[in-house]
Amino acid sequence: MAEQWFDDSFEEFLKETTNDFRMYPDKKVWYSIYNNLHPGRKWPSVSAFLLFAISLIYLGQPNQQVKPISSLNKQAVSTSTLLASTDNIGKELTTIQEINPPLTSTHTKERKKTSNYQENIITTKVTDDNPYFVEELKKKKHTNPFLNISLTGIAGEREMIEINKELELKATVSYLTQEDENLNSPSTTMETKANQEIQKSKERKSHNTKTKTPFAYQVYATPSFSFRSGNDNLTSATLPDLNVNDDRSIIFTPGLNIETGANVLYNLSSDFRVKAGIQLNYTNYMVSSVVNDEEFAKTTGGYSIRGGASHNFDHLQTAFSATNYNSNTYQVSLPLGADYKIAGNSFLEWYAGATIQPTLITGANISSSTSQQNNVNPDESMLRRFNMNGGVETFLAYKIHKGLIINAGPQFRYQFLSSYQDKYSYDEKLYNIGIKLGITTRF
Amino acid sequence: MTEEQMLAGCIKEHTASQEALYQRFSPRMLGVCYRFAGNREDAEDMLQEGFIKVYTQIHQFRNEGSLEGWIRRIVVHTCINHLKKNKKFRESVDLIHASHLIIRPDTIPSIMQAKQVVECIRLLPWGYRTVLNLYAIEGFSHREIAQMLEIEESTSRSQYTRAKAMLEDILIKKNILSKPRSNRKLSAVGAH
Repeated sequence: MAEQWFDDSFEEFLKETTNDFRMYPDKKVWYSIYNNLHPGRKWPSVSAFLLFAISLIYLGQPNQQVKPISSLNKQAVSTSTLLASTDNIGKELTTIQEINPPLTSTHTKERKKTSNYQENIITTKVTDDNPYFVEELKKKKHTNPFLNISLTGIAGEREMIEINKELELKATVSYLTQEDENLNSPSTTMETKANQEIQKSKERKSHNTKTKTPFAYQVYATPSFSFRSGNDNLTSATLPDLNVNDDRSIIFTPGLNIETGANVLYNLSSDFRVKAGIQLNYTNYMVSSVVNDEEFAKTTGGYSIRGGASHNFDHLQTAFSATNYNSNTYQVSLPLGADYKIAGNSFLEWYAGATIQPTLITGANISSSTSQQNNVNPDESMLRRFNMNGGVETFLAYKIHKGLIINAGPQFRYQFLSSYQDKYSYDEKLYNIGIKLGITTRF
Repeated sequence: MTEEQMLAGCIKEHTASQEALYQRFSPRMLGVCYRFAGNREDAEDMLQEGFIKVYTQIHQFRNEGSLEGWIRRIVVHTCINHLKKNKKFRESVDLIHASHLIIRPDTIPSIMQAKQVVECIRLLPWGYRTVLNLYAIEGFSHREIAQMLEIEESTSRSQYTRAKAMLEDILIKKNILSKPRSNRKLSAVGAH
């Protein structure tokens, strides 16, 4: 700069001085550029997020009161791979079969509980017509660590059998399941019996789980209409030209919005439950900013082009210039909230609920059409990336068969922060009114 | 990596080439953005937006000028578009408001000489600063500036005249320039 310069060289001075001025950007700038250029490489983080959400959903699964039947155990039972405790028993059984002509039989069962599993003791009165039990036990002598049957009460009672023509067999069946009912139905074979048992066990397990676990799962969809609140700086913001006067109006056209999501519900009491999940929203609306613009009138000869239609306003010497823009966004939210049961019976319940929804705007499209060329219209880059929404709802829950509950009711969703970043003059807060429809089922 | 290799790689969307291009030109381009922006954060936003445009439009580069000049032009246009969305900028293009602004000498930062002039430029009202940046440094004509900022050409000239006078005043107060003599000459401090 140690050179003399003149007033005419002012530009040259500035150019030379500032030309080599450099600043080094933060690393995050490059990361942002990279993410914009290669959006597909965001998938690892998206996958991690989905994994986290799925983990949340399945949090309700563990620590249930009874361990489920393992697949191996199911196989063991279903194939009736039974073990007779001793060969002697097998011999006795043969004897029993020989001496007992077919009669009727019944099974009764009592239950003992051990530390990790329950034993089901099946007592069978072997009478003249039920050699099935003995036959089947003779055939099933395979060792299985998960299923064990031992027979008692038959040893050396031949005389008694001969006298009474009746023998009581007691089989202790041990397996990792939950049993809670008497087995009094007649069976034809042990295999069939075992199959029946496991089937009933499954049903009972399903039933017990649905009635005892505090967790439930809910999916829902909400068609709604959006509305807009906030100041109307939209027009002034889009019209930097000072020649435009302030006679303007805003026309808002609501659009159809869709919301869908899934929640995990946790019952804290019979009337109160909390919920968390993931939710996707599509928002859509159109705004028309109509300005009474005298300067514009002069250039158009007093024709209005509002809405694309032309009407002569010669006598007014004014015209309307319209700025229309259609905005739609795609949002991912993590709703956290609670439901309170106001009233209800065993079939129909009435709830009120509320959620807070941290929201990420994952995509947006703002298309605009304007009759003024010097307008600066909003675009996607002006949108706030993170926002906060809240929802309140009330709904009826109707229980249908198999533990399914249908929910339906009105929902109001409000956007707490402006759609646009703070540094812009747009102050736009959207709210939606819609009908939420959902299905709830227990884990 | 040569400029040709970088260019070819960027056209093929190779990450290494894109990063090399960014590393080579981003410091100077951030300097450009900083002259237009209100603060460093905004400047980095402009830089990010500008480079994304550079990468997405790089296949349009025809080797008719320097690559840096082409990038710089895109970055400057991005800065202008960014500014036009800002309410404060729109207010600042109002000449009446700007003419009443008084620059206090104690607000002029005491920094190293190389950055001093840039900081002095940034002390100008936004409208003045933008016109001055575009005309004096970036070399746009008043007609082009008028189109870019959607103002009258006469407004651009008027703003530039005022911006120039105000900047001279700041530079003199900061003792970077000596006071004008009777023959309207200005000289940099220390010049002999």
